Amino acid sequence: MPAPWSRAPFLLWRRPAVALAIAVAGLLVALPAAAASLFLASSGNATLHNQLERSCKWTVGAQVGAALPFTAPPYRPDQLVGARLLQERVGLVRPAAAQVPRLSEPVVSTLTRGHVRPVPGPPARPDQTAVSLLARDGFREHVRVLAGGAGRGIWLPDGFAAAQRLRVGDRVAVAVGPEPVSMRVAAVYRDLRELPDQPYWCGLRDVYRGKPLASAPVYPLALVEHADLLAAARGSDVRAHNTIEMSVDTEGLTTTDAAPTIAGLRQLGAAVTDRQAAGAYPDEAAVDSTLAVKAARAGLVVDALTGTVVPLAVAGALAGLVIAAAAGAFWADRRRAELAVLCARGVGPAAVAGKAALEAGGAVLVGAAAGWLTARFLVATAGPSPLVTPGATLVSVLGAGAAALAVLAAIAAVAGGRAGRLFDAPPGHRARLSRLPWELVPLAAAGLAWFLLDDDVQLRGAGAGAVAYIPPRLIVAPVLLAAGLAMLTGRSTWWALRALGARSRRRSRSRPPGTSMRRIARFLAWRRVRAAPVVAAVLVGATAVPVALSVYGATVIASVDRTLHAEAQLIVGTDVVFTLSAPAAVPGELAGRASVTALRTDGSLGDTTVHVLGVDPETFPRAAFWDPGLPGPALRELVSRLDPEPARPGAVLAGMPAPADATLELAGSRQSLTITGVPQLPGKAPGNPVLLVHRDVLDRLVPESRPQLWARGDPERIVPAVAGAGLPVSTTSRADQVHAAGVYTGITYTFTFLSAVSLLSGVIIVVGLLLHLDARSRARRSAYVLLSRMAVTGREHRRSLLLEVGGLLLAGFVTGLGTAGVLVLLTHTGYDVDPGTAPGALVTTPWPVLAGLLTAAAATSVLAAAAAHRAAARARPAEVLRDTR
Amino acid sequence: MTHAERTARTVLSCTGVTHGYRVDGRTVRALSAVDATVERGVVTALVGPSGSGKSTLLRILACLERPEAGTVEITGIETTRLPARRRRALRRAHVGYVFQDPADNLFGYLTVAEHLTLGARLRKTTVEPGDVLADLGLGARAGHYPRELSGGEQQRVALAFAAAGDPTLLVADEPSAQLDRAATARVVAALRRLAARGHAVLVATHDPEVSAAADHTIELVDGERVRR
Repeated sequence: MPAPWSRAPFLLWRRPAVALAIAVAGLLVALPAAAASLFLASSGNATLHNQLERSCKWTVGAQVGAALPFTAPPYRPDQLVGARLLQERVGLVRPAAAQVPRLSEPVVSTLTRGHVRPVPGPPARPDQTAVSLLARDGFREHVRVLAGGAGRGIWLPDGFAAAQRLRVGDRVAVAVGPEPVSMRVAAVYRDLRELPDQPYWCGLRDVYRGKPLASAPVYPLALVEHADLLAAARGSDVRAHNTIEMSVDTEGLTTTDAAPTIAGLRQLGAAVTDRQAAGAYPDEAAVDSTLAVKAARAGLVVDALTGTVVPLAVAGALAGLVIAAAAGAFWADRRRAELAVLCARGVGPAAVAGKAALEAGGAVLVGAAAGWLTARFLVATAGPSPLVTPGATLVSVLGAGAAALAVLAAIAAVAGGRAGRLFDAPPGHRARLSRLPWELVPLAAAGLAWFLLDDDVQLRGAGAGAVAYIPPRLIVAPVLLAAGLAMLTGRSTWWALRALGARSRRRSRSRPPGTSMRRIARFLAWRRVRAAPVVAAVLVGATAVPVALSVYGATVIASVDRTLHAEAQLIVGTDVVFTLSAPAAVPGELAGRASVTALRTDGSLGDTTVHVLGVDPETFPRAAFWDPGLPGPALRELVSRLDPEPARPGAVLAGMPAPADATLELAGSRQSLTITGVPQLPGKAPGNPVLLVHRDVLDRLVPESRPQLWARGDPERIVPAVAGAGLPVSTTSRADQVHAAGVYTGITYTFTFLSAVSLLSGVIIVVGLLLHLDARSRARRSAYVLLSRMAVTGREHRRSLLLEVGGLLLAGFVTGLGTAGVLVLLTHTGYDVDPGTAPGALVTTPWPVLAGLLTAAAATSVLAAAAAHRAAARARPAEVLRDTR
Repeated sequence: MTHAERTARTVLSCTGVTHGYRVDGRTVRALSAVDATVERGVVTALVGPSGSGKSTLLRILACLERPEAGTVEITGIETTRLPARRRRALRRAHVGYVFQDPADNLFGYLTVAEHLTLGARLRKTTVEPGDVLADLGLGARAGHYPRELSGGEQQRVALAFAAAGDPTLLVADEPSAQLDRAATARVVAALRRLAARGHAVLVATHDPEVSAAADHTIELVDGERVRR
């Protein structure tokens, strides 16, 4: 191999600027290429962990629940019962659980109802001595002991112990079956209801707190060792509930790691329900684990994201390839003399392309490796989760490798093309190619993408529910459209500059020299822009794309967020709704933004069941959510139609057509109403018509209704205010938690990635600008030396550069804004990812993003102009004036 | 010399070569119907004032550019309509080209001897650099890099590099433009020696010293050949 090729791998390092440009190109292409798979894996793992964090650890792992009888049924006298049955179960489950990766040791619980009374002591009412008697492995380490704690016996919650005047060491009679057993009070602990819930107890939360909205009584939780419970229940016909629970070690758990655990859990379930286990589980056993569903849901989010993240990554990589092509041109320019010699001797473009690839290979590899590391770092630090899967890492490495090859191919192609055009180029060939309307390609592709790509906003998976996601067409089509519009703008800029240039030349020929020299900075900037219309057009178009995509992405994020929040507020009714167990007044801290309402869910209008909400017309409009974008009259006007007039009071109905027979039936009472039908009311969830009436009307109809407190504002302030006021809250509904179930996380992730790609595009523009400035630095140095001899000051020169660079960036910024406006105009109806729920898409302008972009453009202009001026000002006039090349 | 002998010695001939450039939408005529021949073993000088079309004609004759009209034959092959690949092959086999700036002809990472080896390898032949360099008075410079040579030495190395592999035609664009008189004299001597070795040498020049040393002169004025 001749020396220019055999030594090529070592030649680039003699030109650090070119090596740096090529390495940066490698980084910019490898970064999105490597980031896509890492980001998808990170999103999947984040979704998995979001669900795990909100879930009870025992339900994630495995809960094997079954009845525990203490006497065998007459038809099966040989059936195991009590302690032996429990031993059999543990003997079955423990070895099976040990085979499951990441599964903890089983924790065995047995729960039954019982009575605890002091002995000696007076007879007590059964409802005063009733307890939930629980035996659970390791309970001693998970309660706050107030007294005692040593030795065997029963552990009582402080409230119960106080009510029964029991202290540590007292004797109590514990009755599970007909024969009570005597036990010592071993400890008094803080009632679990008085403390924040601990993960250890999450599987029993309903036992000690009661089920939400259930009316069943909640008994104090008395804790004993298994031996004591089994002894107390021995021979009785009581059937306790026995649960063997195992949790999953979620530390560092990825969707990939979850698969063997899920498979193991299935085998565990099969072992329990297997016929051979009939001895351990004579009755039907319930084996529950939600890990598989959560993993499937995480997979669903990844599936939903793939359609948008991959095209975005490809778009980012393609944008990076532009820099790779520019780096190829940069290389060819810096190697121009050598290429001229080689080409003059008959070396062809393919050989030059090979030389370029050999020279650039090292720098590209360094850049691609840096791109992969940057992608890994960004995903780990700013991604949805620092966890990625080994498969994703491998794919990302392959992506970075493919990016490196693509960069090399781009550099080689550009270098070869440049070499081919050095000599012997067919006349007019390049001009003809540039005249072709290339921008029609992305514009047509955008149109095709819009009509061909999926527009569903939800993705469903078997057993994993549904996740909302941004339909790919809302990403792919706008990206293509932005690229096409930017190219169109670039071409228009080129045409305009050529036309203006020709006009200026005509005018300058007809004017005496010197008339246009009064404002030298403007004169120089304009002449430079006019002299290089292609560069100006590319810079304007290239700046427009990231600005358009950033503004578009931010607008969609903000609009989707606002729309979802508005929908959540509308479903809940306002920011926070407290259901109270007893009527209460509005706390003083919430005055002016809260209202007490009364709810009945059993009203009837004709054959339809309606929720009847009694409101105070004075305070309700300020406490309830309403958006001017909602159809129909404003809430305040609607509420003004509610009147307590006994004969035929006014009412407002949403969720069904206002019936002709407007008579409300409620708990046997009837009331004729004058009903106004509207499409939407606050608090109207899908499927539940809501009838708004005056509070007095509801009070007249029924003596009891469910009191609620509606409050607007920040839930983080409202909830403590209500707790501080001591209101008897039974349930709390918060608008900010409606969408916290992972349904919409995919959307956030999509736009996080879009923002990252837009940022990357911005970096690409800056790198391109620097390359452009560097490529022209020689000419600028000479020009500055000559200008300084014509008394042009450094300040004027710097100003001229600022006008040149800043003017082009500003034009690109304005074009990008316009393009984003067009994109939003075309796509805004798609921002409602829950179209079945009002109020529909609410478009929000992302002012902070706009301000940030403008600042970045201004800063780039100032810094680039300063750097270019500094480079020019460092020129030594003697050298420049002698330089004839 | 008979016509047959002259035809046999002709390496390069062009007929009616016409060429122009587009500048700001207007066509600037660079060459108008130029005829010329270049013979083996002869130094031919292409002279004329600046802007007369010397460099354009040189590039066209060296197969680096295609004329708008006219024919160019190198070793009897009409080149203007050949596909680019065959024109490259023709250049590789038959044409050695020397650019005006000495530094533009040489690779900074190759020694003088390596340049000659490369030149020969590109033509798929071999060369003994010592002989050639000694012939051009550069025997002591074989192991030197271009930056270690004077301008005149660089230009003589460029000539040797272009001649390595024995191309039929050696084309030099203003080879003495950046040299002093002494260096120019040595370059002229080198050109003569290369012609003596059988190369057809075509030199564009302003330099009277170079044109005086030529065996044959082609003069251009405003893109047209002046016949005296």
